[in-house]
Amino acid sequence: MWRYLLHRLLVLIPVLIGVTFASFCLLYVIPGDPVQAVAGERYDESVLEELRAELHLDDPLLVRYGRFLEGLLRGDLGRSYVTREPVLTRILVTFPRTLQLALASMAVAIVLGLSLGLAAAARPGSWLDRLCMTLASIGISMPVFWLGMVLIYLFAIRMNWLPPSGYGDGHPRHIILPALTLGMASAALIARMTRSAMLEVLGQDFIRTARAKGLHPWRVLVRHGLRNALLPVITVVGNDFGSYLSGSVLTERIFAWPGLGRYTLEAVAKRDLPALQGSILVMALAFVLVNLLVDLTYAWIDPRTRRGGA
Amino acid sequence: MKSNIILLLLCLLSLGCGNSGEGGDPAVFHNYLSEEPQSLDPAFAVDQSSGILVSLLYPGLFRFAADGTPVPDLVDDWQLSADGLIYTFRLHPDRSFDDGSVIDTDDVIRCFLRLLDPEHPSPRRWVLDGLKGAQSFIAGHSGHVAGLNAPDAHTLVVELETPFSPFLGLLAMPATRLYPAASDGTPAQIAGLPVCGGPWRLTEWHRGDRFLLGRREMGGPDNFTGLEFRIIPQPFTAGAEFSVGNLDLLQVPLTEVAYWVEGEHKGTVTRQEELVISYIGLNTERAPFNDPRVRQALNYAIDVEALIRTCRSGAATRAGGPVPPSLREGAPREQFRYRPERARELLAEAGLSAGFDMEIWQKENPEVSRILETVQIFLADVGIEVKIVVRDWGAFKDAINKGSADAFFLDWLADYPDAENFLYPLFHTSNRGGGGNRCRYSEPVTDILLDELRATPESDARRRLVAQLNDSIYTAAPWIWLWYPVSIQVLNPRIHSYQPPVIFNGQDYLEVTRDVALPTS
Repeated sequence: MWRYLLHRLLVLIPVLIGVTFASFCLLYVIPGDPVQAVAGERYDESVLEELRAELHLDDPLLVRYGRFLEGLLRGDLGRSYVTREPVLTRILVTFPRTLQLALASMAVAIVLGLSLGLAAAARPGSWLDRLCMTLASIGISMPVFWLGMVLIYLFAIRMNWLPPSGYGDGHPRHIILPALTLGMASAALIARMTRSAMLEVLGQDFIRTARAKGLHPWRVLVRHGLRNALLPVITVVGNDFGSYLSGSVLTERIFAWPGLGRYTLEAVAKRDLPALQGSILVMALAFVLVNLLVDLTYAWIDPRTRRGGA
Repeated sequence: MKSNIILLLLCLLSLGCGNSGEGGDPAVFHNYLSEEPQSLDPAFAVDQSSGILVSLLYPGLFRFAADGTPVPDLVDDWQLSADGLIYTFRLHPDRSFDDGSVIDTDDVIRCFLRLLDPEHPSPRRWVLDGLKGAQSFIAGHSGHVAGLNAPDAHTLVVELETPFSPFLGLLAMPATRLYPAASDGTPAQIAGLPVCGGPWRLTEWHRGDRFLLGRREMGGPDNFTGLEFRIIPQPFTAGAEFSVGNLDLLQVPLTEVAYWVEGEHKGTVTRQEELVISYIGLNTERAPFNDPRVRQALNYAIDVEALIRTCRSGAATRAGGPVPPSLREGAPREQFRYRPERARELLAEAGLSAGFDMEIWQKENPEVSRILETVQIFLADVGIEVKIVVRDWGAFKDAINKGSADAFFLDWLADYPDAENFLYPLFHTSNRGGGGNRCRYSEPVTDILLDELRATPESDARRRLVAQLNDSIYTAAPWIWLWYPVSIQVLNPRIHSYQPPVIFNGQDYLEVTRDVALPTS
């Protein structure tokens, strides 16, 4: 197990180098001049040249990439071209907020998704099944942008229960609406995955045996059924959690949530390459670590995968 | 499990219920910015959000009043020589930065030199490059600027290379704000709260989320003691925050004008024609836009009044040249009324009776897309097939500055309230590209008149020059003339004495008052 973990962690290094180099190349070739965001609406061409020299934008790609890696080894992600603040400082502020939102969204998704999936699988073909799957279909097909606006209208403007937006110094009530918005699509997917996996498991012999032993139906469903149906659900949870950690741009924008997604979006618009490069690195790292966590969870839930992996 | 879920939901609801009191301290004016400021360093404050905050936090020799007039800030008294070249400013002897250091002429010279210093290339260098000896300093031929002198600690003598009548406006811009030596954009300053000295001081900075400013000097009992600026990028969200009382001011989005102007809500609606012009720039170096007849045809082909009604909900005044009406005299120009038949005649005269294809570039913005889609229909009617090219801001700006777009939609916001700011940067040959002249207009006679305008002091002759330039450029039609936008704002009814500024940094909030609750017995 430990060898497996070490192996996976070592594999991270070339993956991250590949991601940073690929993104560096992409950012190098996309149109848009980074110094123009710094320069504003009116400037002299001579200032543009001086800014370009100051920011080392005239250096060849490999020199710039080498400088980035050198900084990375020292724990320095460089300075934003636009704000001149260290990129790491801003990421250390924005990433925890995105992590908070991702965790809350996944909590919503898991609680809602598993509940709907289990309820549907418990009575397949019944009105409850149809209701749960209809809700899941609605959840999958609702655009995040629209759902966010509807929730703001209902819970903030009409009922005045929750604040419409903002981080609110981390007060939990500020996270409820964005977490519901972001978690709804995942909840729908988890519900569908849970239902189909449960139906497959519930038809197997060991479930029949459990029922024959006279166990309570919920105990059969949850203890014996759900545990064996969890693997595909964990895959969905892992994928979605990884992508949420990469910043949920739309949700963060609608709810004025000052997370990594918004920071990255602004960096794209302003061609703020150090900010963008630092954000991509953190997102990639978060994504592969979550995937690693998912694989370890597989091994924990199903020892057969552990034996196979090691 | 079921009970756990119910418990969790109850917990969530109990945490969330009751949004009352979110507006917080009633002595704080709750405002917002749609973009995060790029920099609180005056030398790098090039965007509107930065300009607003920098103007509130740092003192300057002058500041803009809400009506756009430059009024003295640190300056106690000033004089201008008869030739319009030498300004002598007397500074208040008792103004200081928040660190206690008295603001004197050394501070002014230090900050002005930093703006010009090639070691710290500031995009706003152009603001002061007209000082005598500035070019020599920038080129490294001199260690000082000959036109900046301080006979004593509170007297500053500024000499210009050539007369420039809007000079006081330059001294009210964010770029010329003053800061103590410790707040020069160093990493330590960027990481912490900058030391300021303006009417407000920065008390809290939650990066990406909000700024809280505290009033520097006591006001009346009904004045605000704090200013909050939240970062809210989405107009719908800002509207929601205003609706629930978390904001005191809302910039009404164009799509919601009917609701806020005619609907039932708790707010006072104000309108203000800002010093802004919206236009479609035509690349005058490219065929067929190098032919004035084609450019005029495009202006005749578009019903701007209809666009204002449909795409701006009436919130604009049709443009009659580059200079907004409040900065010029004379009757409104109406040559380019909607006349598609005249457009077809002009196209035929230019040998384009079969029409042609063109691209109009825009930055990502749904409101602009709606406008250009309507323009597309008008132009198709006279045989011009328009392809709309949407790019993010970085790629869009790069393309239009390099002249690689046929045409582009853009707004120009005043840096200072003078007609020169709507003429010289936008149409002088020397400013082609990033200098502001993105339609790459080049007309020798216009250049001569623009140079003359800059050197002419405020007078009837100057006003005539402005009218002449405005009319000649209007007729030459390097742009499709659209409109001067009118901003619509909704104000919390508890707020009084708030005057919407005509220029983005023209409101210092010091005189704004609020309803104060009477003490209960």
